Amino acid sequence: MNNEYKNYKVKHGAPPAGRRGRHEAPPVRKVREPVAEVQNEEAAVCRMPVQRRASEKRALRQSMPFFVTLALVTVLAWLIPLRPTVAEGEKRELAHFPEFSMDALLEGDYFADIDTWFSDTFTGRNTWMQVNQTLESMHGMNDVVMQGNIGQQDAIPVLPSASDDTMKDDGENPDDDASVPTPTPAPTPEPTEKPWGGDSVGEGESLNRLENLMIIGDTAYEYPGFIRDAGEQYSAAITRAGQLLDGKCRVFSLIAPFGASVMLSRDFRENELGCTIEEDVLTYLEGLMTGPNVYPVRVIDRLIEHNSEYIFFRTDHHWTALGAYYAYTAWCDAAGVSAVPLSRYEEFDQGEYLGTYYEGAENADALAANPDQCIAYVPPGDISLYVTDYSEDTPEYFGEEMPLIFDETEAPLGFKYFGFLVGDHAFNALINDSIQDDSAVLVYKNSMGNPFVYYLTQHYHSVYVCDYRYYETRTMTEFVDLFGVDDVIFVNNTSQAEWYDSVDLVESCIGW
Amino acid sequence: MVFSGLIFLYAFLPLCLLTYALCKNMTARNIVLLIFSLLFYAWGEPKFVLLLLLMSAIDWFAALRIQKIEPRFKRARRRWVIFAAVTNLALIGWFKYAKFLFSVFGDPPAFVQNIALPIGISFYTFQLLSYVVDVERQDAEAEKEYWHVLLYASLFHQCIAGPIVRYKTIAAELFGSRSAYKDMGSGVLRFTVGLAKKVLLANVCGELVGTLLVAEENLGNAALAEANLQALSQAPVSAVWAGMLAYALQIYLDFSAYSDMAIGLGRMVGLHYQENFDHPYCSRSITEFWRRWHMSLGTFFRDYVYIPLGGSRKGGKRTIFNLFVVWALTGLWHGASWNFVLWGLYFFVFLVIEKHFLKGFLEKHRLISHLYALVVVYFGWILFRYSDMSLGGTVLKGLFGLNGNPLTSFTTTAIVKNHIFLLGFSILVSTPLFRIIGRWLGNLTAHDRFLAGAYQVVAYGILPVTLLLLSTAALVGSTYNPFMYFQF
Repeated sequence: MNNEYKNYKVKHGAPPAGRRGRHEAPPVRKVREPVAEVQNEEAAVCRMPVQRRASEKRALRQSMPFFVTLALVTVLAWLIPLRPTVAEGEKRELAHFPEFSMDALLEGDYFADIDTWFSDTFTGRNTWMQVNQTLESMHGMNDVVMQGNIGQQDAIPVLPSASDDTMKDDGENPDDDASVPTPTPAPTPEPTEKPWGGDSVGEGESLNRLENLMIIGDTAYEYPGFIRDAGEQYSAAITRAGQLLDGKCRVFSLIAPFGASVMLSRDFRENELGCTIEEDVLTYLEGLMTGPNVYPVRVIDRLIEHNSEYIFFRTDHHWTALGAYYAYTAWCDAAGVSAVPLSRYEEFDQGEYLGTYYEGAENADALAANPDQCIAYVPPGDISLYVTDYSEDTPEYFGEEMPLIFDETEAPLGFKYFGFLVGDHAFNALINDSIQDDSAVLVYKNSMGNPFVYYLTQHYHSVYVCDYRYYETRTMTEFVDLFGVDDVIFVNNTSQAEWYDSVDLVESCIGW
Repeated sequence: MVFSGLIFLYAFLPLCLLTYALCKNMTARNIVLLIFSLLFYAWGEPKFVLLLLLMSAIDWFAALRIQKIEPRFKRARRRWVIFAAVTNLALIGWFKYAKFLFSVFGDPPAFVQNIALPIGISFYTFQLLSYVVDVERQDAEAEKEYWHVLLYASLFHQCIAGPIVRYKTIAAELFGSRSAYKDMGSGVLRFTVGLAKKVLLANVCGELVGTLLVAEENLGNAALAEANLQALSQAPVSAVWAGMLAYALQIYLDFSAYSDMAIGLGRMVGLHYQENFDHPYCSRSITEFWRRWHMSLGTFFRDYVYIPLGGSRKGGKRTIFNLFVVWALTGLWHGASWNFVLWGLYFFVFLVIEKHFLKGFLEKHRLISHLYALVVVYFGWILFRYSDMSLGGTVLKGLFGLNGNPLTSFTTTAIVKNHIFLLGFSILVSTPLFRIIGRWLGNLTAHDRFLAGAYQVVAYGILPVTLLLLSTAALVGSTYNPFMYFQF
């Protein structure tokens, strides 16, 4: 018996007689006797090839679960038909496999894009992300969850006379009163018209930008910064719209605030959150919208009056149909009409809803625990809704007729808001045959306008709705002339009203 | 390509290991490693593969020439070392330091501004230099085959971000014989631990730093300088402290994770690289810190700069000068910017003070010395992170409330609370606690065959699989996440 085996026996104990257990070392009695002592480890190993093979086999066995898992996931990952192409929850298309070009290859872009495609469309993506969300929820205490940051936060200038004098909620023309000082308008070029040549957002693209989120309990808040330059550009565009339609139409501008600015106190926003105060931003931007026929409608104050009611979704950046109603009442004051009471509308409950904040939150469990309720209000009257994506609108054809409120009760929880105007389409028309005149309003909107436009059907025979992100058929004045429009309303939210890409699209619609 | 990427985990690695396993002899296996290494490099830098090939060729040729000259002709041999060193350093000097050198005299011209930094150049250059010097010192034999030198320099385990592997430590295993599977289990475990450290801990710490103290990708953007300064000068005191703590954890976890993965991958194919990190945040002096942090770099500078300059053998003043040179170079190696040089010299000052005054005190007072080391290293990271000194100065002032900001804010408190368990766990991972627990469990179960077997199954089977799957979950849907040391 050699020394090595003796030492082994001392350490591990002699193997029992009979059948060896799975983890026991094999007996070494068959080992060759060493010829001479050697220093080299390899030679030492060679003295006991059985032991070496056994230890290597053991090492391989130990690692088998890892290699089996690696192999399985690899096979799954490369089963191309199983790879997702659309992230439904994120409402976007996932990355495509890149097209080859020598330039892209040499610059390294081709491989980087393959990397992106491989990660973005990984098989079982949703399951993996749910696991990751569970992991992330264990990072700390989640009574208040912060995500992202405010982003650009320019200082808000104060206009020389930012007062209600410029708010024409009684329909009077402020220029008639020479004693009322008017704010210095932003410099505007000569109003010129251009044929349609602007950009539009492609299908599947989204202009929603989510800089930050604060989740307190079951409610998510996005809180604002301020991009002054873009905001001023938007105000200038509204002013220009007024100039182009001077003598023809009234131009109303509604800017929907962030839910946080309505639901959270000014003191909290200013001193704790440190975000931009939207009341001041809107005062400034709406103060820059000037012109005898331009009517900025300050909805934020009306919404704050009702902020104890369910006027903003907890899991989405949109206002509810109730919130849109209160914005409508503010518009009524500016337009000099009486608001039709909500009691005359029929309530339609689309059921539970989880919106954009749920999709954008890294840790959305608290939001999912108490989903929103998406309620629509069906307006009274003989009203038809038409929808088209092709903008091939003429006075004779507005698109396909669809249910006034699209039934999304059976749809996934993220779809409920699409019940308004059947989602975002380039052009809609709501025709109320209960109104026997040819009154017409043209609304340029993003998705904030979807629940809002229904209330206008009580005041106009024709409500024409262009989603400025997708509509690209004709300019504003062309439309106004062709369809005989009386009033034009811009419905936007602060987020998009001070975002260059979306302001450029609004300008394209106006035709400047 | 990065180890912590899905394409590496589920395309490159399986294919590489499968092809490797199908090879019957060592030459074939090494050729497989070479091909995959070049593919790995080309994936990130297609054009700069040529630079890697060129530098390897120069040093292979120089080493062969040195080998042919008899050892007694020292000057002739050293001429070839100088040739290799000058060409290597000129190339790395051009690609990495040209902008920095030109900026000393004014605005660099456009063609200098547009120089791109090849990935891993600092690592493979040093490896190749060490090879040539070791041949000259007769610590190693020159390789006759060019592809051997190329394999040594380009091996994907360590080419991109270390550790800096000396030729003499790896040659026997790389070109001699190595066990195929003996350390497969520990290699797999080490790799997955590194992967999890990077993806589950380091990346999240990095996001936290970005939220509290400006994201890494925005720091280098000159167009955002004013916005960055505004953001940092408005950060509450607690945001600055927490942000820099997260940064200190991120940089350790990120870099040590890469070394873990490199060592793990090496073990999977029978290659044993030396450790690069040894829980540096447990140090009780700066001297000790640099014996535990990025050890392969420290030993490189010791063996190839400090000792040739005379080390500590030529008197006190010369020793200090030698240390000054080494630490200035160490700082400069980390980045082509003055803040990195100052960071290196910052440690030089403490090293000299420790050597001459503090050694005894630090050895006697364990807790104070540990706190002292942590504080010095912590403040050092401010110098390291902010190339723009005005930003670094703002952060330093912010630590002591000198920017006029409150102690904390609603958002900062919420953000820190959202990550408090992660920060605590990351601190624990920075200590040897889990290694001690692993060893204790191993010893505890060694006496019982069933328990020992169960321990093996958990340690080498269940744990790696769990870490792999959790890391995969974290990687899915996330954006490209290069290692921080990629820029070096």
